[in-house]
Amino acid sequence: MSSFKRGQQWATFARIWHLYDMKWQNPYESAYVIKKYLSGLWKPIYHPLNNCGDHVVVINSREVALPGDDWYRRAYFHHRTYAGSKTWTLAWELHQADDTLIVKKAVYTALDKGLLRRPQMERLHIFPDDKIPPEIAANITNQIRQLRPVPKKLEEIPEEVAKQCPQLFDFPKDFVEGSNLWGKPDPEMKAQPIRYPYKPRGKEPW
Amino acid sequence: MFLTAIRSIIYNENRLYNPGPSKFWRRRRILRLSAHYFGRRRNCYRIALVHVQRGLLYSTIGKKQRSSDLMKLHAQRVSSGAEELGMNMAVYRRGLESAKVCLNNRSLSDLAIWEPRTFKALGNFAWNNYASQGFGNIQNLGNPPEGVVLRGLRRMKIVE
Repeated sequence: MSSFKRGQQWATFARIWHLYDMKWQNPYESAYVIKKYLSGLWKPIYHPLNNCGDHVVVINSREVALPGDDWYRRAYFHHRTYAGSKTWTLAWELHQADDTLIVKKAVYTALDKGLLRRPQMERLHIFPDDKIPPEIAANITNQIRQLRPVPKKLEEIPEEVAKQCPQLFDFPKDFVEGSNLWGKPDPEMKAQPIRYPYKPRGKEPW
Repeated sequence: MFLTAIRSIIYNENRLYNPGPSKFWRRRRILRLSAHYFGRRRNCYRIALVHVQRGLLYSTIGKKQRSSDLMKLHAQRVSSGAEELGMNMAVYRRGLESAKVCLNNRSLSDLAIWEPRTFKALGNFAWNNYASQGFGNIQNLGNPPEGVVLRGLRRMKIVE
């Protein structure tokens, strides 16, 4: 390094703290948004060897929304390096064990492979709910826009407003509420460690 | 004939068989290239030769990759600079291109780093120009920033 370049300090006062609300967001798509801020891709001074990434604080990781029936189909592989110690954990099981892990693994996969990946992961702070320690909350200066707006639940809409919406069709007489949800799990198959992503065989039970 | 034989012992470039530099100097040529290696790869000629030749191969490949890597880096920098202004790289490049502003990604990325205000001014012009040519959908693009004089072109604006 020449003495001229030694004075060049790209990242002086440049570590910004961003906030990302993970409520009802797809973790695998938002991971690429978070990656942009973690690795500093959004700055014009970006260089793959330049350690110019920011901090990202992710809140509400408990209320993450997986696409389709991924809660029952997506398996997370783990190997403890002992013989026969392979495990395939379903996404909903992993989420029950630790409600920050799905977001963490999604971001880890999205980040570029290299020596900077672990330091970048250390700048990711995930919290299962919206309670952030005050020393972290004091640093936050920017909020990343969510990928899609959070829809309102029917329970959250006041009754008077809900009643004003016209009924567009009648349900059939033999309709059972919740019966046509695809991807509904078989409760008997619950805790089985699986070799392949879970797919019920034969006739569907519902 | 005897005299010509003696003459050939003196160094002669035009001789058919030219032994070249001595063994020592031939080895120096390779060992100079392996001077920054570690272990026997650095000092033992037979081992150094293998790794120097492999290293030269890598450097040849790297020369070809360098230009494309730099092009990607410059494109990335221009794109992140444009996104800071609220547009994207396609708007930026095409807005300038249609006005025949011949700046490549490399000079634009230099502007984005060292002269952000110049970059912003160019970007504001590009956005206005892009919208007035009717390239993108103005509803998705948003209102272009004001304070830009366009000669002979209609200023586009979202009608509320």
